[in-house]
Amino acid sequence: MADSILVVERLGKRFGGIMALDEVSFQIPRGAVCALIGPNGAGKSTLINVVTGLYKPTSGQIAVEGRPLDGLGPVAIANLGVSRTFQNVRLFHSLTVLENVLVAKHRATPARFLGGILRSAGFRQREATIRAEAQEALQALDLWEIRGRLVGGLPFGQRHLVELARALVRRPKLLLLDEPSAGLIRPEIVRLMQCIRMLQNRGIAILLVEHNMELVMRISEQIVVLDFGKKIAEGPPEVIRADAKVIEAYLGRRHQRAGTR
Amino acid sequence: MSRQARWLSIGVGLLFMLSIPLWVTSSFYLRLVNLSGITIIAVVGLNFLTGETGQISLGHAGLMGIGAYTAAILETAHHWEFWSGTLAAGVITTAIAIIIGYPTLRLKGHYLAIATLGLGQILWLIFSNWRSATNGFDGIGQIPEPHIFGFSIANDFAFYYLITVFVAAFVYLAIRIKASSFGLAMIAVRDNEMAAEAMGISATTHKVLAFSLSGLYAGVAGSLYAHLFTYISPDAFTLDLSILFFAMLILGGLGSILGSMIAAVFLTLLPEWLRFLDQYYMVLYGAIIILVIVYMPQGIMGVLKNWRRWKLFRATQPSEPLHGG
Repeated sequence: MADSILVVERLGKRFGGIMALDEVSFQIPRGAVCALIGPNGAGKSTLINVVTGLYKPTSGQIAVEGRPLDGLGPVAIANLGVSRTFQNVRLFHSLTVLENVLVAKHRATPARFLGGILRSAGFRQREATIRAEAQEALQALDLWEIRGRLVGGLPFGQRHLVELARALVRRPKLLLLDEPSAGLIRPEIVRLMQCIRMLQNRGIAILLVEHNMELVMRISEQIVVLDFGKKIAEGPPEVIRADAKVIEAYLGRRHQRAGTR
Repeated sequence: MSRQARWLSIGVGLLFMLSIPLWVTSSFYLRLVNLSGITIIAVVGLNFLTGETGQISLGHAGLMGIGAYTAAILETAHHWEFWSGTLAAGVITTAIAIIIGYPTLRLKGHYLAIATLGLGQILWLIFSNWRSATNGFDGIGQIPEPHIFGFSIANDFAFYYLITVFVAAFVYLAIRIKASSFGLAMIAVRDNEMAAEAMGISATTHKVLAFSLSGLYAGVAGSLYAHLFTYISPDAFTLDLSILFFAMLILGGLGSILGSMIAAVFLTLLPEWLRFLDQYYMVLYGAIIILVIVYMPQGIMGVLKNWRRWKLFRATQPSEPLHGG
């Protein structure tokens, strides 16, 4: 338990008459890449939204580093070291690439407010540190050259990367990626794969919701399969690939062969 | 712009500002100029909330009224001084903004506009009916003139310089806050609240912060207003004024401090330039606002930015060789 970054225990989420999540349990070891897959409407995005505090769970428990998240809101959970990206890329469109990353390091304390107005020595020093961290994150994702551009005018693929940089600069322990390859073309997906590996090498555990099976099979150590809100399988890629239940639910009966490469 | 050119333009601008009362000899126009300065403070304050954080308030005139009445009551009935009265106006208005902000800023979108609209009306009713404190519709008169370092600020000429100092200080403060990470965080909340919260930026905290800053600015502007006119009544702080502040922000360009300032001066003086139109003035005024929203949705600053970009574009065309500087 202690070496798990995320523990989800018998998690349930009900929307009216629909059980979006039904007794889902799994764990992510520290620094591991875990993929969450399943057909549309299986409850994958719901799970991410419950873990990040956007939705309150109906039942069950979530713990980050052994700390239960009961009743915590999105801000408190984010400050525990959980970061995320969104399915439809949510950036701060009137800010530049650099500002999008800088703002993720913002802390709203009265001392920092006064320091920011008076430009105290402590403030300037902190600002330099934050800039260095932002530069590091942007360089890691090849975005440093375009740091001055407004994110609203960037191509879709780069916006994905800005969102990753913004999450990365927060130095999360757990990073939730909600369909990061959606809308990307092939070379961008290859780039994304490299980025996820790089994040993992930094010791960040990743929970990946993804439809691109090639990406999932190549980078994850552990796969959790959801169908209609229930966990139907869990295990390493080679096991999941051969699991009859998964193939039936996810790929459909007739595509059994297409699922095995 | 080179460094020297920048300092030169700042110097010329400063001299121009300081010389205004020397050539604006009509006391009527000088009064309008002073009113423009007060309006700048109020609008730059509202810019924190509406421009940077994206929350529409239609109760800003009510907050300004709190500042005006606080200073007026303390200085007439309790013989406070200008400085202490203005400080109290700022502090009390900020405190009231925080108290009102916590419940109302949880409302999203148009509901906040409606709630603050109600707030403005409630404050107006309090100013009108709390006779023992506010004198009702008779208003409060004979608000004492400020005394500063032995000088008495008794006419518009002297008042101009007092207001200029306040405008400079509060605009500078606004620029500093906007340039700090709090400015970025407020814009982040405006652009995408959900993403901001996922990055650990509390939407409620920053909305309340923006609202309390707007309260501080409105309170100080209200106190200056009370001293400039030496008389206040509930009808100085109606919904019309709140809407005017909002219109100034739109015209200036939401989020832009300089744009807010230009629009505050322009829309304070415009009614006087259009006085010959008599009651048809509002028709033209409305038409101007509609044209601005349709043709320059980012306001004056949007136009200036596009113009600068266009010049840059022209300058980088191959037909015109670039000269290294």
